[in-house]
Amino acid sequence: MNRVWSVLLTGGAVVGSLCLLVALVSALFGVKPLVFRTGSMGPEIPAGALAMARTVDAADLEVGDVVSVHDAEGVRVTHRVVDLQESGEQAVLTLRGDANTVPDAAPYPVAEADRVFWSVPWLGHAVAFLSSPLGLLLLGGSAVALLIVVFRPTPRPTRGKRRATRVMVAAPVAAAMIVSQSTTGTAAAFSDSAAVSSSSIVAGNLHPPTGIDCTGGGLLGGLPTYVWTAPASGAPPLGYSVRYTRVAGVGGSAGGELTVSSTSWQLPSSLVAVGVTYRIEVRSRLHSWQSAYVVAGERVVVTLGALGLVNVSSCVT
Amino acid sequence: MGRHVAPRRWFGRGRTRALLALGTVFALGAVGTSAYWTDTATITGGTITSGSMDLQLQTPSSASWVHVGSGTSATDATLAIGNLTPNEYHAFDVAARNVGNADFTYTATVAQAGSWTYVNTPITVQFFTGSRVGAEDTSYPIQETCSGTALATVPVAAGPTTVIPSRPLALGASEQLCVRVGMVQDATDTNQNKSGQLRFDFTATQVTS
Repeated sequence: MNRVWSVLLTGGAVVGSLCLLVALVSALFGVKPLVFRTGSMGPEIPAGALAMARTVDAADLEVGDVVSVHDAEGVRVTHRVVDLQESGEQAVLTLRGDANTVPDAAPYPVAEADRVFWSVPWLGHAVAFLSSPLGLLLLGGSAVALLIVVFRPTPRPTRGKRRATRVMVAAPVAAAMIVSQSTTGTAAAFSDSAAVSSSSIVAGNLHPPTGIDCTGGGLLGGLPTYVWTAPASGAPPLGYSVRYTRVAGVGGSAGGELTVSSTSWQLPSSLVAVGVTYRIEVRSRLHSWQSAYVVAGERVVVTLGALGLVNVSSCVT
Repeated sequence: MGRHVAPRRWFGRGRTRALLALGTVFALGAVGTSAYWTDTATITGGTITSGSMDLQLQTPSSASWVHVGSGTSATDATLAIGNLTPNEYHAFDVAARNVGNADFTYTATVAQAGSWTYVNTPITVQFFTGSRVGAEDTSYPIQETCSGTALATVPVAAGPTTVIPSRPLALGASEQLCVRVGMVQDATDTNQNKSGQLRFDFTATQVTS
C-alpha cells in the first residue's frame, strides 16, 4: 500500500512539476498547444496529434514551415507554407496540407502566424476527450475533489502525509485540465480538386448574302429594287446593311449605309438625281457582327426620261 | 512510508509537493485568464476526423461518376459548342458528389483554356442549382435555360474566376448543377470564327467546425 502510494506520489509530483513548467513556458514564451482535428498534415502530423506552436512575425516565416492561421471564416487551419509573398510587415501565405494534392482554396494574408515546432501523435485525442462535455464533467469533479482534499481539515497530524499524497495524485488531473483548457483545436482540413474542361467553344461565322439581283426600274418599272438571298451557311443574319456609293454624277447623295431587316431594298427617291450612278453593296448583320460586303453586279443609273419630264432609274450592269 | 523519523523529512516531502500542487492550481488561474488561449474560434470538444476528401463530378457525356484526378483535367466531349453567335446560350448538366468520409464545402472557378482566341471576354458562364430545361435546342438562336437558383454570371477570363461560391455538400450527398455557357449579345465583330475551351476547377475543403 505504501509502495503504491509512493509511486503515485512521485508520479503526481513529476506531472505536477511538468505542468507548472509547461504553463510557465507557455505564458512566458507564447507557446500554444494545438490539437489536430483532421488529418491533412499526415503522415507527419496525423489527426489527433498534439502540437506546440509559437507565434512568429510574418517576416520570419519560410516556405516549408508548418503554420497555424485563421482563415476568412475564423477557422484555425494548420498547413505547410508552399508559397509566400511578402509585402512589408504582411505576408500572403499559400498553404497546403501534406496529404492534400492541392493548396488551400484561398491565400492567407497574415502579419504573424503560429509556427509548429513540435508534435506528438495521439495525445490530442486525450485532450479532445477532456474537452468534451463528459471530459469536462470529469475534470470539474476532479477539481472539486482536489480542493476538498487540499482544504479538508486534518484531525491528526499523522494524516498530513496522506493528505499530501492525495494532493499529488490529483495534480495530474489538474495538469490535464490546464492543458485541455488552453489547447486550441486546429483544422488541417483535407481538400480535393476535380477539374473538367470543355471541348472547343467555337464562335459562328457570319457570311454575306448571295445572289444580289436588281429588279424593276426603267420608264415603267418604278424605282429599282435589290433582292438577295440569305447566306446558305454560317450563322443566320438578323438583318442586312445596304451601302450605296455615288460613283458618277453630282446630286443625290455621295453615299451612305442603311440597315434593312428583310432581304430586299428599294432605292429611295431621295437618292434620285439626273446623271448619278450608285454602286450598291450588301452585307449581313447579327447584333454587332457583320459580314463582308458583297458588291451588287448591277448599278443604278439615273437618266432623264425620254419625254424630259421624269427621271428614269435603271439597273445597269 | 511510516518509518520516517525526522520531522524535517516529512516536512520536505509533504510541504514541497503540496507547494507544487498549489503551483499547478496557480498555473490554472494564470492560463485561464490569459487572452492567449482564447483567441480562437475554437473547437473545444470537437471531433477528430481522419480520412480524405473525394469530390467527384458527373458531366454530360459521363453516364457514371468520374473522379477527375487531383490537379489534372479531363476534357468532356459533349461540353462543346459549335457555331456560337451573340446572344446564344447552351445549357449543360453537371453534378458534384461527396464520396470522401467527411462533409465538405466546395467552390468552383472557370478560366480560359486551350487556345483562346476570343476578344474582350464575350463568353459567359452561369451556374444554376438545377438542370437543363427541356431537350437540346437546335434552332437558331439557341436559348437553352437551366432550372433552379441562378448564381452569378461570370465572363470567362484568363485567370480563374469563381462561378460557384462555397456550397456545402454532406458526406455521401450529390448535387445537380447546370451550367449555361453563351456569348453576350454585344460581342464584338472581331469574335467571329474564334474559339477557346473552358476549364472548370472544383475544389472541396473539409468542413472542420
